[in-house]
Amino acid sequence: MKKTRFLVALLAGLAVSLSGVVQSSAADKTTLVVMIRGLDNPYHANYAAGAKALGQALGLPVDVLSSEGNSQKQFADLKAEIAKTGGNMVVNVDPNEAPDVVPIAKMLEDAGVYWVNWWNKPDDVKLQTYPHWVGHIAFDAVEQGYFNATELFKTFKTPNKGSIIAIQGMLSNNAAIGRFQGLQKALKEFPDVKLVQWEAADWDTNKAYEVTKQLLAAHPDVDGVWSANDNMAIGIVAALKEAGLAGKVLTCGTDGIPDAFDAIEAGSQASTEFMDSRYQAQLGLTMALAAKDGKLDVKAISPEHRAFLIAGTHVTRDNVKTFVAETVKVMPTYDLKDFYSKWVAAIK
Amino acid sequence: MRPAASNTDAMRVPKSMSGTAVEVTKRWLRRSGIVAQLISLVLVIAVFALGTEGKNLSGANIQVVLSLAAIPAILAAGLHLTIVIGGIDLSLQGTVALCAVFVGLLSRNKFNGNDVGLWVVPIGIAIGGACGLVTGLLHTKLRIPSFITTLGISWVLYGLAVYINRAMIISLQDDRIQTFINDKPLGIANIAVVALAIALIVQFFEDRTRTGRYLYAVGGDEALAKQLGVKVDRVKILAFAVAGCLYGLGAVLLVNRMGTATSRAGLNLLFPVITAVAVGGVSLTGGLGGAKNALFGTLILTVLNNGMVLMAVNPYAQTAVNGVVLIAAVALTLDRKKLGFIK
Amino acid sequence: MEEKPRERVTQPDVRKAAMRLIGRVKPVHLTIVLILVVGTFMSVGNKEFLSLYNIDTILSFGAILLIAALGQMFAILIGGIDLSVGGTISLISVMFVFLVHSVGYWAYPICLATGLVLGYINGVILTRVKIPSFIATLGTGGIITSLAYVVSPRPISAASDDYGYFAVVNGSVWGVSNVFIIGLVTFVCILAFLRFSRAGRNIYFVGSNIKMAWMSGTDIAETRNVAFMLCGLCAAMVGIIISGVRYGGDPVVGTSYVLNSVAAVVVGGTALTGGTGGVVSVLFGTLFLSLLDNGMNVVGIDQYFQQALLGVMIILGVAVTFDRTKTPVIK
Repeated sequence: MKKTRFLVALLAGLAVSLSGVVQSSAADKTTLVVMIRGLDNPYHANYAAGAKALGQALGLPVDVLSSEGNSQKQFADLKAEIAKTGGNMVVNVDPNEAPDVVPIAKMLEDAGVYWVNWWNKPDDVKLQTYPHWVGHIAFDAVEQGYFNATELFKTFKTPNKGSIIAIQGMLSNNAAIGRFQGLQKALKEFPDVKLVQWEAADWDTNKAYEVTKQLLAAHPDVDGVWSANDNMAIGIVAALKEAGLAGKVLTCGTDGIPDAFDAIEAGSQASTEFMDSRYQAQLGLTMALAAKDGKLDVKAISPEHRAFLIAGTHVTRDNVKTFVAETVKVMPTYDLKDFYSKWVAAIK
Repeated sequence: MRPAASNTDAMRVPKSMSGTAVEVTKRWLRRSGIVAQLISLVLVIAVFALGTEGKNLSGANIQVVLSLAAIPAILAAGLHLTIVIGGIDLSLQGTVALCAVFVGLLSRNKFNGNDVGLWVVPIGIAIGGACGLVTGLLHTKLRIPSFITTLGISWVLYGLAVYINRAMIISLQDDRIQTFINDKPLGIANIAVVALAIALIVQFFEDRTRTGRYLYAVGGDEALAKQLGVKVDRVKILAFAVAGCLYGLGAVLLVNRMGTATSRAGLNLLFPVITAVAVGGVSLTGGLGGAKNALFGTLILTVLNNGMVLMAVNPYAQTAVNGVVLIAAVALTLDRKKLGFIK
Repeated sequence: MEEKPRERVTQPDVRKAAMRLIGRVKPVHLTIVLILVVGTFMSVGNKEFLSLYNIDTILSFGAILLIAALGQMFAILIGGIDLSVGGTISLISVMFVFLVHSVGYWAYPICLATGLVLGYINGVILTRVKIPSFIATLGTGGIITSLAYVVSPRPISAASDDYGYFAVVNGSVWGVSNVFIIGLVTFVCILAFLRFSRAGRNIYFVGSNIKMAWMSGTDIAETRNVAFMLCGLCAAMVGIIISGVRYGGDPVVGTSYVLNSVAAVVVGGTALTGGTGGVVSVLFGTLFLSLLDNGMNVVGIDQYFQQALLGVMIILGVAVTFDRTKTPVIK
């Protein structure tokens, strides 16, 4: 008898949960799809917000697929989405890892879906093999690491002379690797700055705090803490504050999350580079949509414009206030006519 | 194959001890089941003292290790209760995430007008406790294995936390708790004192209260405990609820230590805490080990990880070292006489 | 006047009959009911749910989880658990890409053998060093993950020239994807192994009553080693399939399979205490999870709710299907 009662409870639960959250699908309109890693961080949440704003402006439905860092889920979700829309969609992809791009490309090619990829792809995979792959775009990670390092060096008691520790992101991640190369480039340029030790903190605020705390015990007299992103910078600032060093020893970051702007204004972080994920979402979707509507001939795009780097915005103490007020707090209207307005270099 | 004596022992509240301090210590050590853990801890410290040329024994570093061990120790003090009763609790991540988000949103912050001040501590603990209570009720009343109940609950709570949090990083503007946990009126950071106090209280509860002994009765032989009139379900629910309370406290400290709250607060905590509990000598079959074991396990792992950072051990190798130490520590410390067939 | 006593007689009869009927209901049947219920809701939500394309999707992704879950089932049947499957899957996925490049098709047997060896090591730590499998495999999982990082610290892609070797996984026969066929064959093999071989029956024996098994002279250590080796073998298959599907390996790709494989086994109605359940339960448990995963996207449930809903569903699923008659004490 108990089992039947459970069954009834289950049915009721199912009915309630499904009827509450099911959205009606509109198969006759092109669905705008963004694939991101998770909804629990500002960068990707902005990604979804940008896509939704574009959908509202164009009157098209938007679906956000979040992989939770799980590649298999990412593939499964994408195929489910293709099934859902019958292939009437365009996709903007932030792949979980570089190798994921090949199966994603094949799935979308088979379904005849135009798409734009961000950040990661295997080096020897050529877009020209896939007629529906409109573009591959990334921010220049080396430049980000380099810019933030040089800004950090400027804040030393004697500028450009001293020692630093570095907190690296997830070791397997391309952006982390690129930013670290940027740091090394800066170190080469400023031989008076010494990197005494580095550790990885996997983009995690807590881990960055713990590692920094331990490194500060071992090297109490450093002049700066380089960080590969803003999330970790939060933890670093907390550790510096505990050691009584906040405002004296600075850190840096990348991404441009609200806390980083606050920290820059408060003088505990030197700089960050803002990557506008709202723009990323809108640019990618607009490009793919243009290709789908026949306004953009993918075959005719030159190789430099098929895979390219774009520039982020440098934020330091000088411009943080105006930048936050004018760009971060409001949804800017982006120039989506010229897809290549922020182009800085081709990706080989 | 479990000796029946342990069960009758478990049912009895121990008598007060007598004798000289040395004898008491000796007896306590012998009875405590943490001799092996003490030796492991000393060994790990010694190895890294050699490896780091004594850097790990500097005053500043000891301070760091103690304050870093504090939060995992509190979480472990909670989680081990659910293992003592023979279950397991995988809901740590979800519970901590949800508590963290609530703590952030209820403290003074820039997203809303809330400011409950120091009330955030009992509120955080209560939310955690409520999560634990629900878990315990589902587990006992619907008769679902704890592994799957807590796994499901963890997903539900984490999903809720992410939904409520909406990816905001909630900066706290009230730093009273942060200042308190880092103060050192007793020579070590208050957060470490709090953790030690929690471990002692939980240990006292386990040793000296009837309900505490029932935990071991249930973990040792549930069917027998039931026959002897122990209200098994109630004991189990209590274990999960207390564990939840401690996760809530852990979340409060975690959030205030950092000064920011997000739904990511609980990430990557579960397996390190389970590892600590196991290294400390709490048997996963239930009925053995206490809060002191969880505390020592946490200390061993914190010293180990700290030593690896100080020695700049390749981060890729660090997971392997953790794995080896886990197996080695359990291989050396597991009291196989008290276990029947090992599963 | 005469009807009353008759009624008194019939009512208990009806109840008895009902109880008999319920008594005959096996956990598997309840899982199937669950699947039908979920499936109906999903297809009402969006008719594309039952399109050929989507069914193929569910089956081929489900097959990967199925193989992982079947492996995990062996560990659980003997009353243990294997938390190292994630590490093994990751290690094999990166190893496979390198091996395919250097030794071609030999990569397949080498990787499968590696899985067997890793499983054997887990078994030995349990049976000889006598460490509970939860701890032992948590530890070996960490070590194997480190090994995966040693092989390749970052995700790697196969060279396009090697793509041919991946066809074993990626191809299809008469429109049916090879992954699904591999899953099906594995399923049938394991079904036969457990039903008809002595080693297979011993696994149940050891899991359900180890004392009795020991007294009747069953080689417990060997049986447990075999169970863990088969678990390692299945994990290796999953690693190969994943790197085949992705044309690349990834040193962390296996992480999500640890708890998901356990969940698939348990949702099917198998108790973690061992000795009960079997391949058919695992099949339906996996199908249930795969349907949910896919269906929630197809009907367009907000991403914010998906994980929470999945949590609710596995609890409900186990609440319905868990066979309490065979496990008096639920831990």
